[in-house]
Amino acid sequence: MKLAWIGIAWLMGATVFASVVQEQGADSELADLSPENPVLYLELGELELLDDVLSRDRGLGIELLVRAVYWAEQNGDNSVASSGCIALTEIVESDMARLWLWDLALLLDPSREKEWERMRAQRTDVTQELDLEAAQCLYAIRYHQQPLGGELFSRPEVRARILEAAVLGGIDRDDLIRVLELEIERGNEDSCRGRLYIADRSSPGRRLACPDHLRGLGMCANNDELRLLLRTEMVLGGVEVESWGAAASMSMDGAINMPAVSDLVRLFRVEADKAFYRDDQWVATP
Amino acid sequence: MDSQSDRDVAEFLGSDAAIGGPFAVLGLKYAPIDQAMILRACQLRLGRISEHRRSQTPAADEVRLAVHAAASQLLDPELREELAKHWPEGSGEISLVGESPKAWRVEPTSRLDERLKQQALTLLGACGGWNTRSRKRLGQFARMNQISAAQLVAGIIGEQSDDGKQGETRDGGGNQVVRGPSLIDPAAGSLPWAMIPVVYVMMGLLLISVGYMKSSEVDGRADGGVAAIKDLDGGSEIGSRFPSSETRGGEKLVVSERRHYSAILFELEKANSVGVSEIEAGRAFSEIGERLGEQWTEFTVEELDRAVVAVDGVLGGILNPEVFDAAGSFLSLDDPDRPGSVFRLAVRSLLFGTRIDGGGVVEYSVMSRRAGVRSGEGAFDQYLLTEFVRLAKLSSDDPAWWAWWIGQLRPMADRVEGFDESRIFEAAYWRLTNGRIGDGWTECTKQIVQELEWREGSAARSWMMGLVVDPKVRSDRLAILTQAMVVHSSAKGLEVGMVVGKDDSMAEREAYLGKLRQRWATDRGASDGVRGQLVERIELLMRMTQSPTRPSQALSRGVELARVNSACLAYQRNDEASVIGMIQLFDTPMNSGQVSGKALDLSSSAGDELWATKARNLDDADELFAHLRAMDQFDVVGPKSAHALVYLAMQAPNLQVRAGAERAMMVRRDEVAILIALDRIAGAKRTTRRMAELIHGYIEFDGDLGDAAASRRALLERLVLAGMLDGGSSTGIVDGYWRSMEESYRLRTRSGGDEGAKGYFNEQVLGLMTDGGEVPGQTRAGLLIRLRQARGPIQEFVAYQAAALELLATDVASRHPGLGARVDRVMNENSDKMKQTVDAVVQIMLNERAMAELWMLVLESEGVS
Repeated sequence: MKLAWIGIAWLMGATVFASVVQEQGADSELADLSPENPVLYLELGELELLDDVLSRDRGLGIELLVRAVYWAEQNGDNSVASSGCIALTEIVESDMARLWLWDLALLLDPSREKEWERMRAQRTDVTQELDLEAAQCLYAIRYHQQPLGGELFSRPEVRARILEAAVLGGIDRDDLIRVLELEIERGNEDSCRGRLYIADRSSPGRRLACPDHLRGLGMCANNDELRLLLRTEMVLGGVEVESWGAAASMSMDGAINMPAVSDLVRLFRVEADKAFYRDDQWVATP
Repeated sequence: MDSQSDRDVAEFLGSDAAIGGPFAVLGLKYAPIDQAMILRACQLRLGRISEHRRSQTPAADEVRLAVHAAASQLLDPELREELAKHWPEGSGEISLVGESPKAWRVEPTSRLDERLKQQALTLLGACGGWNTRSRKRLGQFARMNQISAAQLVAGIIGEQSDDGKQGETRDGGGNQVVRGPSLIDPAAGSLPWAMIPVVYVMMGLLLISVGYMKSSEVDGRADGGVAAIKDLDGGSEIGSRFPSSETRGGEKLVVSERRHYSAILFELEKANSVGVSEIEAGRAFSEIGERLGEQWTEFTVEELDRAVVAVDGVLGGILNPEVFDAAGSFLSLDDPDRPGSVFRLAVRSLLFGTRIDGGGVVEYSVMSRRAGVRSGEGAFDQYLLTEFVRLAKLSSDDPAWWAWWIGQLRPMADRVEGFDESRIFEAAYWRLTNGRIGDGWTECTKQIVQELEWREGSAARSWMMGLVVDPKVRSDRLAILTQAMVVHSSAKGLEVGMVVGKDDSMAEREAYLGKLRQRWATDRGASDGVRGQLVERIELLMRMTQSPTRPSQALSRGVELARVNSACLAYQRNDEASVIGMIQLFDTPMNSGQVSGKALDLSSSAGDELWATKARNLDDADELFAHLRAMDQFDVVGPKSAHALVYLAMQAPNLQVRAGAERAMMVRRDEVAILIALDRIAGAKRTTRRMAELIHGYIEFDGDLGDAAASRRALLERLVLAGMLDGGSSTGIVDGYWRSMEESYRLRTRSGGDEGAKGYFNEQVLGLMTDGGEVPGQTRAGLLIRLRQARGPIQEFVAYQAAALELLATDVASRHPGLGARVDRVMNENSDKMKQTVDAVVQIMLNERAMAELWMLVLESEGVS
């Protein structure tokens, strides 16, 4: 699941603005921030998120909310810390990052279970259709159904969903992208366009098994690539296996890692121990 | 409405109540208004809060406080007048008009004059003082004379003195006593909270207009009644303090002789039924109360509840402060740091909401009418336990405190579950982890160790071993404790000088732990071979898995650890036969699992392409049948041939050829190339019933033929199961590992099911719920999160296994209070290691290792090693 962390970091980083110090003058409320009162970080952070005038506000909002989570946990106020995680879900764009934040919120405050389950149920409804499209994309690419496969893959939401599935399945995203792009290229070069048989020009009416396929259609160039694509299709399709051996052979035996506040701080690249806002920057002492 | 409290008031009482000020809170106009209306309004508001769906929330309590505060302010006429200048009046929704009998309608001027007062007093005396009969008679009297009962009562009791002594507690050392609740005080305007419910009870009784009266009762107890009247006429001082337990108004209290507890209970309940209205009766009641305080341990839990309910009833029904002081004197407290009796402290706390903390400051808290002690449920014993737990945190280095504390603890041990040495452990732990050592700590440790049992398998031994390696315990305090243990306790096998040094490091303390284990192991370890074997096995596996483990090693280590854990569980269940059987299998190799032995090759040979081409171009059925038979020469169907075979099964012109192709497929089940060929048609834009039947038939899937998504899912699953993606050897090993783990977990469950870690976890939950417990929120949350992440059976196993580990840790810590810190250490270390690995099989091994460590703690605490 190490790959999962990279994936999460990438997904969060792609949706988060850099933690640039707000150039606007420090609000008097910002000057009041202190670790003894993490609720203030939470409240200000939520207000900042509501203000969509300047993109930099988002950075400040994130800074505040991550600190709210960090310091609330330090002070044993897990309810506030949990609220901070939930507030952050409004910012992140990737579904997986949102899931991760909700997991952390639940871990910090188990009383949020009903909300967590409601979120999951909503997510299932929303992503089901996207899962179908993403699965169709992988299928089309593997069976050289061009231009369909390439067109689907070029859609940002489909691509994002495929990559999320890869992260969820512990699959290296870069490897997956490489294989998909290779298969698309092979599909473009495949003169039979994904058909089993082509016309024999030397003998009208006769059909030939397409000689361009060194392996069977839909079987990729090698077993590793096939494993990669099938594994991702399994995640999208919700396929389950019972056998441990089969699961291990499909690399479905990665470690399960629990979310932690320390990971949140690292993933959002916030120096949370610098708790005080002075002269438009975050400092460690007041 | 700009504050949370305003919003709360609006929620519970309506927006009109939240406009500000006490009048609005109670819903009262400026006029007409009197004491009865205010009290009635207060009662109605409280009732409304209680009926609200959020009546049990802290917000509801805040609103209740606001209602009480408003009533208190308005009861003071002068203050009321001043408040009317600054705050708006209420909606007037609270009104007595139409809500109560005509007798209670408030008149602007009171009709209660001296003549009526004297008549009421005569009536009171004729009935023998304050009792049920007199209350009914007075109710009638008030109704007949068109005055409010509250006015009548207040008039009978008399004008209050204004010497400012009410509501005070005496500061300073010596006998700091706490005054109980005082009476209604119209002059000062403050109604002590504790008496509000008493007033309601009084008003309720007076409202009962029952018309019967017995002529014989008129002549009853004239003397007592006259004495009471004289006292009342004399205008007794309000706000008298409780005298000390030894004196009562300057007279030494005579404690009556010991009596049978049933007699004490009878007297208490009798007093509750007739009421206490005279000072002498109060003194007599207090004597009975003294007996209760001395002999309470003799009562059963249900009877103690009844006794406390009776005390509550008697004291709650007394309006006269002198009578109250007399009746409640047995509850006085001599020393706030060392209350004479935790029992008295608990009763006072329950009845009056008073509390004494270690600093000697008396805290007089607001008391809303509590649910009280429900007879028959042992609720008061649990309340006592709560007080003990609270007092444990007040432990000090004062030997006198410890002597008192232990003395209070002893009688509780036999009657309340959970009231055992663990209370001493808790109290001592507060000291051991605390700062500068007081002068008396040495003597304290002597008392502590002498109170504990140090025999084989005792909790004290495991507690001590836990303290030695607990980093929070200070070495200097621990040194004195171990010294006391060696010199003064009944612990055997310890020689003089075998103590912790005051500056010892953790490494040195670990060494000391080893000595302790060695000294105490010889008692029983040698005589218990089974336990010894378990301990030895665990120690070996701990050493073998101390460093980071590779996944390949984790498989076998995980199985070995799982086996010893299952054996430990069987040992705890006293299933010695199973344990011995399991021990014999400790060194059995892990199940090797089946190896498919076939390497997957999806490359297309010349023969493959040829067969596929020919299959497409043959028209004659006989030729096609022959061609199908020619496929037998191939060990495995080639990738292109597989596609061709599926093509024939779907689209051959001749139906019999289609059937023949289908038969050729079916005799080659689970061939990867055929599965992929079927997958190709499963994902087609247009699927037919024929396609679905072919796929379902090949993979033996019973799903809905119309559900293409389900068909495809099943196909993918079969593809994985076919072991297509590697040579099969590692798949077999992992399958063997799976079966070994399943076997170990089957032995842990009483049902012997095959659900692995899930089944074990579910049984733990069932056991927990049977004992009235529930799964901790954190454990449940962790399980949900892990299950959400899980993408296969191995990860799902880790999820349930981790939850089972957490439940085991909780169980061990609760059954062995002295092991709490060590259990935490095991779990924290496991949590750190789990984060450092990328393999689920290593995580499985780590969880099993943590379980084994916990079992080791349990075995140690039972005096083995």
